[in-house]
Amino acid sequence: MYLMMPQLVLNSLITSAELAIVGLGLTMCFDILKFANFAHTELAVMGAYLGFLFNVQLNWSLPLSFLLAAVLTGLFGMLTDRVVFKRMREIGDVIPMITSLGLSIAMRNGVRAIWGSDIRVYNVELSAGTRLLGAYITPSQIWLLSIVFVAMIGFHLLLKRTKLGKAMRATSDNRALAEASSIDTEKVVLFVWFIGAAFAGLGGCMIGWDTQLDPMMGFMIVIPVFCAVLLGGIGNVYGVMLGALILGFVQNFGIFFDFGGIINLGGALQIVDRLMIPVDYKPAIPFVILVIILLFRPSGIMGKQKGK
Amino acid sequence: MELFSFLHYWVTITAIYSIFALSLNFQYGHGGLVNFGQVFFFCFGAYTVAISANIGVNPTVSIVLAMGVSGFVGYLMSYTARNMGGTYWGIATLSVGEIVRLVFLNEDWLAGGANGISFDVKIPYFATLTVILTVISFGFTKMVMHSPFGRVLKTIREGDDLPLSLGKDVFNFKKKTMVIGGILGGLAGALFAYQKQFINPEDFFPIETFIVWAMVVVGGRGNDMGTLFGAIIVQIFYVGTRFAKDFLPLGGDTLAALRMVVIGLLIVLIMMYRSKGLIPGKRRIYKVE
Amino acid sequence: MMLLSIHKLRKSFGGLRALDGVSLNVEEDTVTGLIGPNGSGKTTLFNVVSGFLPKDGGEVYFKGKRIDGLSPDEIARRGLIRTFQIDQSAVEMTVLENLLVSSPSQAGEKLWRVIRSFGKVLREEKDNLNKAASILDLLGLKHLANEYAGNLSGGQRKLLSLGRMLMAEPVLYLLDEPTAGVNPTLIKDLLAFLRREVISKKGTTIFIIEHNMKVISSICDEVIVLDSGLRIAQGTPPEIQNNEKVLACYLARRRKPEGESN
Repeated sequence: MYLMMPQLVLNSLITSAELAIVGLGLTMCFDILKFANFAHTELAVMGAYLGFLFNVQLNWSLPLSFLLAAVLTGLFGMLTDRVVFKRMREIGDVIPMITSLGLSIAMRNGVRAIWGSDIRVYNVELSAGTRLLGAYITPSQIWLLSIVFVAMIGFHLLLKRTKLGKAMRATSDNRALAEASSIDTEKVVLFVWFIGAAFAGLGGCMIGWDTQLDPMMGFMIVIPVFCAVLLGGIGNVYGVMLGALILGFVQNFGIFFDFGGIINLGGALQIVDRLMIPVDYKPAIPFVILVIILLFRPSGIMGKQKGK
Repeated sequence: MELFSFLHYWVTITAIYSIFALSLNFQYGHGGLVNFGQVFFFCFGAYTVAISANIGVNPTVSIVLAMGVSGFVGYLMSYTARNMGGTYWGIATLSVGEIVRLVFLNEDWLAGGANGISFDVKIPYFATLTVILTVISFGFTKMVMHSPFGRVLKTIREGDDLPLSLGKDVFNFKKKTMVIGGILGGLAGALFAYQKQFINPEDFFPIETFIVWAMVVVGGRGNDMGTLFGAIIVQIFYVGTRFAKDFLPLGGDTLAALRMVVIGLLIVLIMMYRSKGLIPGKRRIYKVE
Repeated sequence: MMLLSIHKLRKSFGGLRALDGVSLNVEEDTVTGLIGPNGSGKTTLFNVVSGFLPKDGGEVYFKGKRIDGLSPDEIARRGLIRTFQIDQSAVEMTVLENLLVSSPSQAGEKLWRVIRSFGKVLREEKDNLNKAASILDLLGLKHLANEYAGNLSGGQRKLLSLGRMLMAEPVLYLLDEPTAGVNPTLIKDLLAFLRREVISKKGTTIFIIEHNMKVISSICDEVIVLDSGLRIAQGTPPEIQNNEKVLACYLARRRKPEGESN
């Protein structure tokens, strides 16, 4: 494993970046609107395929395609709120959640109906990647990490240094109080949808660029993203970044970890030989972590603290 | 003749899904428990039957065994619902459903892994049997809901506080709800196995859960008649669109995708405009002098 | 006999000490009022006593036995039944169903019994129905028997919550602001109802949180005053109304108990 360490670290960072940028919108929406949006990761799919439309079908440049895809996805996010979820503000958490489930089914199959189930890729040259600190990194991965990093910083500045950010924090802390302080919370909600959806769409483009496009790509990450959100605490935008980091590393390193070492108390005892997570179960890791969090610490590692 | 055998098949499948939908409606519609992993009952029921049929157990016993195993799974799962709110439990059950499927996928010794299990046991008059079992399941849920037990479930559906303040052991009721849901779900899975004679993990993707959600949502939560209606509607739609292939210039995959788009939109629209379902529920009228 | 005894009960929320080691007793067969400024801990007290909130310290005795730490349904089964400030009527059930479900220890609630002792379950249902019907008569809600509770007016729902309590036949009624938001005429009816059907009957004790002093003066034998999580005064309604400490704590928060100046 030690030879692969740098590559594993890189892979973990990539996974973390993908989860973080998609999860940001989910954690905000979950916090302000108080329901679990199962359709959120489908926004990533939408962004990815819009990117495909512009880049491959219309032959535009990659940056322009991605930018446009992100913006359009952001707008679509706002649209889903206006049309579908706005009427459900006071209705509790179950009905919007079921609705989002239906919406996710419609969205991912809509993409499938239009573009088909076959794997798609963007119009870019395949690159073997350059060597960096013992790992191979491709241009798409460099861009992915950079863009996500910049996006996170940018969002942090937005949250802490702007009036809008202040309004967002106020709405997240106590919506009624924010309303009373003459903050138009519905506008804040719309903006949160836009940013969250745009980030998700951008994330989808990045994922598609790094790997490939497939209508199920959103559904495949829905539980990992929820896991990152819950690890960090709902509504905690820094928490989701932390949760994404943790999950990214655990997913990539987890299959190498010898739990037998813990059980044997570091070699002091000899109860078991080796106890490792079988490779086949790697996809199960986020599911298991999620169930454990929900059972024992649903408020997450960082708990109820918001981005103060 | 072909039409007859097709109808035969359709009735059987609809009956199986009706029982599956009734199991979900019991948990969600009557019990207020949002289970996004309902498929795991189906899965345990089907695999129990497949494994026991392969070792020569007769169908009646296999089916009862399947119901028992799934009921027990329901009992275990109820402990996860104890302190978890609706949203979290929905996410948790979705996860558990996938974990279960992954276990069956990877543990070859258990049930053939990715290759699945097949067996060669046919039940005579199968279609008739499934319909009869559907009617019995329906009757059972109706009876339960008309009893004082069902009345307490209805109160729990709206929140734990009122029933707790009246001295009802809410967790115990939730446990029983999950067991009943499990038993019915396991029955559906068992029948599914006998119908197909070959099952593998690909039969138990989350989409199966989502389809019965559509059925329950269409029919109206808590409304068992409505659930049956929803099952029939969704099944007609499913099968009807298969024939559309002959009339529309669309590929098989596109058609399948569009079908799911309609299912998804159906859920969205009903939740938006008729969250109580399309079939109006009947209230219980008592004669009071 | 002291039906309910609370001994040095503590409960904090974060840094806020809602109950600061409060001790009080409610005597059997009385109507005892609990008043105090907003935030003095009255509802928190009810919540901890009835088992809906875990305590931080102290003891609660009911009928001589300790109940702190028990689950809310266990406490309710022992005869301590509470109402909620925000009406908890099951809105998707009818008025009758709301009442029927409130009856304690129904055999039919055990699923096994439904099958095994079907006859007994049927008979219990019939008795329940009769009991519910007579309560509806008393409340004047009979015409709404088969109406969804969600369609009732606010005042009617308050009546329904009282009706549920009657069905449950508690030993100790914990009423949390039963007249809040109810119009004055209905309040008069409610009080008359309480006097006739509950207070006059032997073996019923009421512990009632109220902001309306007229209600307190009208039905309470004893009044306990809470401020900042502690009992600061106790006595009959006239004694309390003239108690300087009580007046001071209300004035300090610039609040007067309602009904005083009318």
